[in-house]
Amino acid sequence: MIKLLILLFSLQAYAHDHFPENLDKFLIGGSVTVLKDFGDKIDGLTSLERSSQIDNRSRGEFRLGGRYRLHQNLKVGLFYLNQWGHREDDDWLKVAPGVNGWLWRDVDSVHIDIIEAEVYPRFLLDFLPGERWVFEFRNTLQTKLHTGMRLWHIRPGLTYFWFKDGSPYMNISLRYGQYNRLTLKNGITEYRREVYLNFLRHITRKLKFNINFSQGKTYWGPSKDFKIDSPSETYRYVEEISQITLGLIFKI
Amino acid sequence: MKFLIPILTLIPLLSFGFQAKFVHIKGVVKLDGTLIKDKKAPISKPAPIETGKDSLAIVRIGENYTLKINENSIVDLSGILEKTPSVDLKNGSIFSYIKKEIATKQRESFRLKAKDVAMGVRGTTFFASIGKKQDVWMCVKEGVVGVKTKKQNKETLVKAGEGIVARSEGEVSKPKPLPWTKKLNWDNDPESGDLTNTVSIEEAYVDLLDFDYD
Repeated sequence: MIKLLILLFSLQAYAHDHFPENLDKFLIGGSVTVLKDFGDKIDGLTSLERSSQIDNRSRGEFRLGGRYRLHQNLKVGLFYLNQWGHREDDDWLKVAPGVNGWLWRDVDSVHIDIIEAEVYPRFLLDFLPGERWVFEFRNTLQTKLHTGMRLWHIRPGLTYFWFKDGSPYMNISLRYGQYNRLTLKNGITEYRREVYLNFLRHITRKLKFNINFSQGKTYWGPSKDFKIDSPSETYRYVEEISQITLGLIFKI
Repeated sequence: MKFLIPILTLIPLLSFGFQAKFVHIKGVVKLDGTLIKDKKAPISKPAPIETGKDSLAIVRIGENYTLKINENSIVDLSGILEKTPSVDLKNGSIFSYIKKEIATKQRESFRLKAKDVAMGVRGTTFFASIGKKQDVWMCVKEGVVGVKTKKQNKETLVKAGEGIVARSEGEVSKPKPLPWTKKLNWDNDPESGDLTNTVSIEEAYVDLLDFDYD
């Protein structure tokens, strides 16, 4: 009887063992951004962001690119990104064929190259009280070069500017971000959703400090190893991250 | 009848000599370089008036013209006795008020010059300011103002509720409502309270649609 119970317990543990556990974490991050204008219409941007450890891994992102102002209310942009510490669908691995046990691939030193193209209209809502409200609707197409995965990111946002002596000295922004996969994979199209609240203080014309609060959920579907091991099963892994990021922005 | 209007405009100035006075002063105000202390001091001759930081002067010329001269401004009254009274804004900003009885849409009742910009006033109330790049910003509260620059012969008519910027290169923008003008302090009655205009013309240069931080 005891041996039967032990066998049943092992099978039960194995039955749940191959599903990754959802993650819910709070992180602290830091970022440095450098901006440069090239004439009236072109802006360059470089940034580096890193967050504290989660599951013994640290995440980060490097970004380089620029934007062109097509029209007073419309900009387009092109960026190269390099991310590390970010998980993907296929990072949920079976330890070895025939061996019970599952784990996440160590992605700390796995760098993902991404190309981003964006277009966004922006409008001054001067009919609102205060007359310094700006609304933008950012549309970004992101391609992960190693997998070919394409994400379409939309991010509507509202910003208010406070002025002092004719110049802005503080902004507050509220934004919502929705990432969707453009190729249907594992039957999931939603990839991530996030809400951001950002405070930015203009210390001088060339130096700004910002605090960003974000709360987001990322969804992954079954990995290749899982589909081979359990073809009749499926899962939806949810990583819920709340983060505060402190940033410095330099204009050169 | 048409001839009466320009005559009516000039009679108060010519028949009684040059009649002007300060009706309100705040801070440092100089007339032809001399510091004025009396809030209701008479102005004996058409000369430059200068205001310092956090200063203000309200000047009444004859019965029909009132000027509110804001801080850090220089206004030259030397042209006030011309056929069409004119004032030269050398620096800073000014509110101009012309009595309705004199204002007429058919003919200029007042002229304001600022740098290379000439504004012919056919209305009653408008604001003009020289910006940091030596541009001239102007908006109209009542009436119509015609704007010309030395480089642009064509006159731009600016109606009530609209504003323009005349760039130092000579180009005049299309008249349209300018958000920052809604907060201008148009008040010129010393009895009514704070007359200080706190709107900074520098704000007009900020393009809120061009800020990107991420």
